[in-house]
Amino acid sequence: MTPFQLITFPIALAIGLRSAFRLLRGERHRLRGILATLLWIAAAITILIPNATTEIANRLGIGRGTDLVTYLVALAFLWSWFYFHQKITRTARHVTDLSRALAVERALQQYPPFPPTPPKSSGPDLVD
Amino acid sequence: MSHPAVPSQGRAKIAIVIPAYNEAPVIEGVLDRLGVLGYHLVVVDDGSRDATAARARRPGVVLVSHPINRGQGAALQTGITVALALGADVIVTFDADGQHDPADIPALVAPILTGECDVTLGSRFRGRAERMPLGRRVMLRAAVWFTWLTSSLRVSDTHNGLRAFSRSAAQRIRITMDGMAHASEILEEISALKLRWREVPVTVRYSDYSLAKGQRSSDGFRIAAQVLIEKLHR
Repeated sequence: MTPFQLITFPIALAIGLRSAFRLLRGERHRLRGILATLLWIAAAITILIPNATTEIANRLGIGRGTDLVTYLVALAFLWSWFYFHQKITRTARHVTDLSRALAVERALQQYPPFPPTPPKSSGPDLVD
Repeated sequence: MSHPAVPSQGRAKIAIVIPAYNEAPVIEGVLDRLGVLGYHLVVVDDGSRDATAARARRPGVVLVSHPINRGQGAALQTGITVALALGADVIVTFDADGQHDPADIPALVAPILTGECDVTLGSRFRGRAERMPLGRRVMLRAAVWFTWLTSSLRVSDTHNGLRAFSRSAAQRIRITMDGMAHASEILEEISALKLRWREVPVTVRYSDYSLAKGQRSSDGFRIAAQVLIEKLHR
């Protein structure tokens, strides 16, 4: 085992096991928990057995293991960008809703309803 | 706070919603021009850091203040919400930078008052666009093509801030996009809700001020990206 494997394998394995443990205890969102656990366990395996990615890549017809890892990283990046964009958008909308609620409440306390319009002056009436 | 005594156009209560962000140099002029026409004015100060709110505060104007800046789409929805709560029958949206002509409002409102339409959309390409830079013209034409691709509405002007809604249309349309992409969202809502709409020729006068404050040509790409991403979210 290389020094790199000695350092990173226990870390990846520990995080993966912790993630699995939290998932089993119901402390995590199920889908996200499963994904995180699989990710860290896969990372631990590929650190321990570097040829594993090449083996899988060959079976998938990709070729080199590094290409497989690159593709997976690209997919993970896209997924996380989309996930965080969605999350930020949702948070921004909550901030807007809050700002609006405050603004509307203050305005309605301050201003009375528009007064009834006097009998017909000019121009068309509203069609019901 | 008082309201203008006689709203125009018969017995309908017509509210003009004006979203404003850092518009202190021009807001008084815009309100002066609208005020003499007797409409109910709702100014939404969108967290301005200048004297916009102070200058908009006057008798006959409902001043609504966002505690922080949230964008023109957010300000419009806030103004529409307030106008509906105060009993408006027709709601007109009007930009605060002075590029719209209040004289266009009666033509915009008339088809709604007669029940022909739920929404009217101002079009500078069916009307007039004074001093419009070439870059802006190209961007707006591209926006029209984009809208044709992404929604079923065949409009000639997609990002004109001058438009009018019947009360029921305003109640049904929800603007959730805080920034400038709200204009595209409104068109998509009109399409999705199957509202009856019509374009009305209007005049847009570009000034040095409105050009400096308005959207840059590059904003068109950002808005298109926002619209596409929003479609993915749904």
